[in-house]
Amino acid sequence: MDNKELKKKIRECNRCGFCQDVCPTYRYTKNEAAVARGRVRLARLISEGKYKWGEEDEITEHIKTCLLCRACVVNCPSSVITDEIMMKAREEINFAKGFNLFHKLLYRGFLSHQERLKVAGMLARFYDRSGARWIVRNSGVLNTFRKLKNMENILPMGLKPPLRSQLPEILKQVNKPKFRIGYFAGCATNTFFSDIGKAALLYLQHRGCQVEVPEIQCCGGPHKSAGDMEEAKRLAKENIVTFLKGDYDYIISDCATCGSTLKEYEELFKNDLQMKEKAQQFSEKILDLNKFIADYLPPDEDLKALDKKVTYHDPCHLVRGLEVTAEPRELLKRIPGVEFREMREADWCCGGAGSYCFTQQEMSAKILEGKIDNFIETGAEILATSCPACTMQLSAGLRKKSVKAKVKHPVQLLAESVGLV
Amino acid sequence: MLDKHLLVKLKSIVGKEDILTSKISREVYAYDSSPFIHEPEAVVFPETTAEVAEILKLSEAYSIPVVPRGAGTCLSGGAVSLYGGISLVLTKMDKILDIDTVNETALVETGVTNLNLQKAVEPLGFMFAPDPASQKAATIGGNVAECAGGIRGVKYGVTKDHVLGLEVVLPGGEIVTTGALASGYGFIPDLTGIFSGSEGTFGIITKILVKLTVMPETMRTMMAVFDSLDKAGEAVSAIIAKGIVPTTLEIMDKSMIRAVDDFLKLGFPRDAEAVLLLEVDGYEVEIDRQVDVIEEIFREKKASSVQSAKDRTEREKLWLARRSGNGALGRIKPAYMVQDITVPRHRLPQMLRFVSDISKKYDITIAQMAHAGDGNLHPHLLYDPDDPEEFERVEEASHEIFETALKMDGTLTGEHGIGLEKLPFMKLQFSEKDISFMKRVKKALDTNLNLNKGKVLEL
Amino acid sequence: MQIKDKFFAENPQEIAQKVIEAADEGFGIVPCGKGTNIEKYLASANKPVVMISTERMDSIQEFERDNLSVKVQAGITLAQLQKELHEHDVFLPLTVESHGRRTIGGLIAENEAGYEEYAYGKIQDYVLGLEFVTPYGEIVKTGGKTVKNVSGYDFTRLFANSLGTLGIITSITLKLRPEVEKRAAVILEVPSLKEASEISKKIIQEKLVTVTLKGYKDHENDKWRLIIGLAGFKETVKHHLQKIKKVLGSLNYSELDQAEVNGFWKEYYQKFPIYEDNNIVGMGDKRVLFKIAESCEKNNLFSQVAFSEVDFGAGKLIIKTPKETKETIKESLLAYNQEKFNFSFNFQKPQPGLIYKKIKTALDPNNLMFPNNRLTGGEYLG
Repeated sequence: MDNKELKKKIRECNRCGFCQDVCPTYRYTKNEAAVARGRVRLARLISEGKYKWGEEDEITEHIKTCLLCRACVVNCPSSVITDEIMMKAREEINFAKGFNLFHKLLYRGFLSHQERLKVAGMLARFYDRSGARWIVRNSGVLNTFRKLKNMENILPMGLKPPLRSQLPEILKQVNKPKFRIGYFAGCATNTFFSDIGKAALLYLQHRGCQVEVPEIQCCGGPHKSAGDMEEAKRLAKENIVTFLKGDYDYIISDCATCGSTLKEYEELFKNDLQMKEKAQQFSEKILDLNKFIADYLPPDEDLKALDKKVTYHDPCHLVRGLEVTAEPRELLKRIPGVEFREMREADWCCGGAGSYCFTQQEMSAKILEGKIDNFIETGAEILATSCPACTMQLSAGLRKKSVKAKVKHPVQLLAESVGLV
Repeated sequence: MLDKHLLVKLKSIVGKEDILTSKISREVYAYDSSPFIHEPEAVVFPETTAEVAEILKLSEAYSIPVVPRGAGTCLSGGAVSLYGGISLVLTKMDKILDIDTVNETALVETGVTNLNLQKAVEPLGFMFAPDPASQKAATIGGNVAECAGGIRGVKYGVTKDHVLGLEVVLPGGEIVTTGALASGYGFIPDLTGIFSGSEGTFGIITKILVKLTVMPETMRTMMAVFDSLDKAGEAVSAIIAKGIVPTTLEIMDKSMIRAVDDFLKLGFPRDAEAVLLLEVDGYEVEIDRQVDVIEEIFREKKASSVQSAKDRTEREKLWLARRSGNGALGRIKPAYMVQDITVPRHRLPQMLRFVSDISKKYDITIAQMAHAGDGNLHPHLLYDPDDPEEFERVEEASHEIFETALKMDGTLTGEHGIGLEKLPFMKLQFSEKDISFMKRVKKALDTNLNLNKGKVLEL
Repeated sequence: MQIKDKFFAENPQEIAQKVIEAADEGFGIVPCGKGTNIEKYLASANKPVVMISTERMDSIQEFERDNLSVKVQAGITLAQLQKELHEHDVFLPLTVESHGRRTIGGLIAENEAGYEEYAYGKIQDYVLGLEFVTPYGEIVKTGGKTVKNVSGYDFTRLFANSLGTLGIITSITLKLRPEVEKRAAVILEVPSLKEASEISKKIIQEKLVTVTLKGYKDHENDKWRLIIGLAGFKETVKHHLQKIKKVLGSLNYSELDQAEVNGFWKEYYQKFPIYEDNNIVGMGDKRVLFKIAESCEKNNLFSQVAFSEVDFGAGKLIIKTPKETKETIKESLLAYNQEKFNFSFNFQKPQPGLIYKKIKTALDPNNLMFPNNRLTGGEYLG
């Protein structure tokens, strides 16, 4: 989006205010600056020259507190693309002010380097297992770094080894495979939630799919959200090349954020003559795991009863990104014994929003609390969702409120029901 | 900027969390859904009636203008701070205090959104009849202050027909109650009525006792397509004349239909000149006969097609289409001026025709939408803010629309309010004596003119 | 009290002139229609008054059936208007049997409601526009003839129940309803008021096309009766009669058709006129009403009075008392009204009305309009 285009998009907002009803940050602040209409207004003031990008800290702050959950976009009668306007705004702010240290450390330092992320995962694991977690938490060392403390609260407990290290035991040859699948095992799945990946791979193989798990780069989603388009494109290019080489029928992800980001590679390179066509080929093959199972595989015949009350949280990137809502619910309802209970505001952002839970801790915590309250109201014992970032955030929320419930991907329940895990 | 001592006092009333004074905060409270932009000097969020009263006392003591504000969805500039001062944002007073199914009433704080009230009473078999298009965001306090209408108005009336009592803070800080909240419904004048449509110029509404309406047993939603706006208008008049009172009767013209369809992809007939959306509600045993009569009228008036919504989802889609009208126009041109003229119902076809002619005369796009059953038209005059010449034509066309509506015994505004927007036209509708009477009442309640000055009346 | 003059105006201009003259003399001004309900207020006036009657201003000015509106002069009687409207299949939901002889102006000044108040509310709900003469003798209009109208302030409801203290209403634009297809009623004798309450609560829950829901008892007959009126489409009325029968179970009842309903009310209001000095009226929160009625029954209060009506639909209690016992009955009623708010009696002194006081003082600083009535004479002005 160039500046002219940006100005035009911004002006499509005619300030009807309907976004107030669906914006999580507005609900908890009641502040007009923290709703799409206000944020777009601020962007407009800059695009019309009244202020400059990055010059007003308050504007920067309001632009950064947007979750990019797109609830406003889909509810906007003019379909104002507030998320894209915000990402563009962040890009401009970064351009004007440079990235902050936290961003550099987290995004360019870790997420862009799979090796380092592995190390981080190992450290996290050591920390979790050794009891250092308890010591550190109680010694107050972390209190000096508020952000880090909160990260500490959100990081998952009981880490298993990374998915990638388990692959030799999981992957196998499938006779007369129905599909050849390239599995995109995103950073979070690999490092923090290898159980989800494992369940997915086992289940897909069980259902007759030949699966490969290529070495990947981060999908670039976090970088895009932070307005780091340059890095996002670099990562995307590498992924496209890797996967096209494999010539898969479909490229599947269990992560809503990865999935929707990969789907948008096409858009990312629409003005890049070299990459355009490849990106298009790549994006066409992207499917969410739930959707693939629900729509491409025949219904299971070997499901055993799981007597559980289950509800489902829609990840933003799935419900409004890939527009997948019915499929995961359908999968859950397929399992005998499962009592599905719809949750209020199931499609509201959980406040995780990628790294939002680290960078905007206070707001994130409030949104999360509301989400957990809605979950408690259902009386369910399993909170299913389809995104590792949501899983991390929701688990932290359950821990904080001492709710005895588990967060699971629908595929984990399917695998369980078939007896694979 | 506000006086330092005043700021200190304001902080001591509401707490420092509930007051914003930064440049950027003032920017985002400078607008509502109208084209008017005026910055307040401070944005204050009271959480109780007592806080509102204290703030109004300060406003009197320091002669600081106060503009009450709910969701800021006013279409006529009612919520912008023309003279700076305090923007009093009431959205934090958002509790539903009581739902009483014996008296069929609900008591709510001013900042409860219309939609949240609807959601709260629906499981009990009730609805709050006023349902303005802005109901997702708009607050009940704002609905009362503007006397909001809505699409169910044909059968159920407007906000003032559903407000039984109020708690109001007067400009001097006195807390008073009116109507059923004051007297239990009788024996003294019910002054609730003067606050309906007073646009926040008489007092700050803090609590509202609303009348609930029994949710109809069943409803039928129909869409009829016409090859001219005229015929659609005539069908409306014919239905009213037949003694049928539909819940809703809405007309949308071609440009409106297309904009909405681009948003919702409902497969509306894109070549239709006019679409009439109609809903009747009532009891199961009576509804089909009404539908028959209506269909007969549609046939007589040569509707090119008539469809009925098959289920709740289809029905909701149709109404979402209608509610999204205003917003969706952003797709055609970046800005619009929306008029709200209302004429006696039998004059509707004539008025629709006139507006079409005006759009040709001034060479501007006018997207028409009308709460046809109430004679309430919403011509949206579209323009590009970068084209001042086009804007001028839009203004001239508006003027002519006003004059014509008044000649038909209509009114300048049916539900959006005078605000800042229609202030210059008040003297077209009212005599000097009428206006001076209004001023006398305004001054009786707000002697120092601190409350939303410059709206409704020039003072 | 001294009535200086009773002036029968022919048009608003004459009224304006008369108001200015009276004000110059310092006389009070008392607007009236037929004066059917006014004498009692005049007894205690504290200055000489000029009565201005709109009785002769009784024409229908504009009847726009297709807009469902009618503009009338203030002096037209309800009966006169309804007769005309009836011929065109529309009506104003205020009942002729109860209020037929009164003028529309007067009905607005007291914000009256008919026996179908439960469904249709009060007359203020039907006023689209007003023209009135101010205490300064100006002719002013408010509202209009459209159902939606937010141009300028809406003073139509300021005048409802203002008892002629803010100005003289000269013409009114009213919102009309298409005539209902069918009316019917069920009437039955019930063993006790408690029984009537219980049935009424059930009927309310059924959410029917109920327009009247009243229990009543007169001294000639020691039994309570309950009347349930219905109005709507013919299929619905028929269907809802069935539903009512189900609620009534084994109780005996009789069914009235449209003509019989009208006849019933005609006789009812002849027997128990609304406007009598000894009528005690209470209204407000129905939950409170149910409790008060229960206490009245428990304490045998109803057997001490000539007539009692409990309107379960509209939330009203009417008791016609013998003069001798009126004061003790008032005391009992006040004692039964435990909650003190949201329910009030016509004999109670109103709490000071601050908004009214501010407006009244600004519009009529010398308190010339109807001095010394319920609003202008006592505590209400503070």
